[in-house]
Amino acid sequence: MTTMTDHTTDVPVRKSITVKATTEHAFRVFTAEIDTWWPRAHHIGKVPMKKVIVEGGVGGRCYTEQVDGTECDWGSILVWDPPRRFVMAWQINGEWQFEPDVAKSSEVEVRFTPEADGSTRVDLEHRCFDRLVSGGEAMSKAVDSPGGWGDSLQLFAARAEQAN
Amino acid sequence: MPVGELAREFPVSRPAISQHLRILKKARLVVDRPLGNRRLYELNPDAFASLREYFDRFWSRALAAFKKKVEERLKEENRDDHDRSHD
Repeated sequence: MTTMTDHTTDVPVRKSITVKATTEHAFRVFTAEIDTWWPRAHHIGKVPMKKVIVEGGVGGRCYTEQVDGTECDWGSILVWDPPRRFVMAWQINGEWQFEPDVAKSSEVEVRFTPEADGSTRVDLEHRCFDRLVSGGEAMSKAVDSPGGWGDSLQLFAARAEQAN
Repeated sequence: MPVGELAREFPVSRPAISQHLRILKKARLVVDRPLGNRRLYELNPDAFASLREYFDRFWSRALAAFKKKVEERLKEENRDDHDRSHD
């Protein structure tokens, strides 16, 4: 059990992977070509998605195009330093809705580091989950309601596995 | 942390804080316990653990798909270069 001032919620998710490619290639596939690998079930649109887009540059939009022609924002670029690093605001709240305020959003940083053998180490950090709490009334309701967040996690996990 | 102490840190009324806490408690994002005639509120680490767990799983899966695609594309490009060199 922790207190309100503890930093349990600040603990980031960290993942690393090494790919046999240059940093330029890895950075490009991760961002400009994200649609080629992004798990198809992972979007917050009401209808299936057609395409996922990450626009390069600070302020660039991260959004999906849905099959009905609508667009669905889910993030924006905060730091853009190709081919080494970018940071995006992950603007999805606890109800799986777009969060316009980046101050209430979590963040994803991805770093691309060249290795001696010509491959690239990719380090990903998803952090600032505590910001979801400070803006988190909606989130807390979502967690508790039938069909809410807890159920969504199961659904998302199951759908993502099907999609893979 | 007691409600009064929490209320001082936010630009909203104490009843509003109490209402938020009730919602958070119902959602099991916070837990409370009595201390004398007050109630102390604490974050429920389990709720955040499941959020982290979800993203932990998600990013493992996503990065594996990313790696596959990066390396697939590279093979295709090498094959194209190879084919062209024989033209």
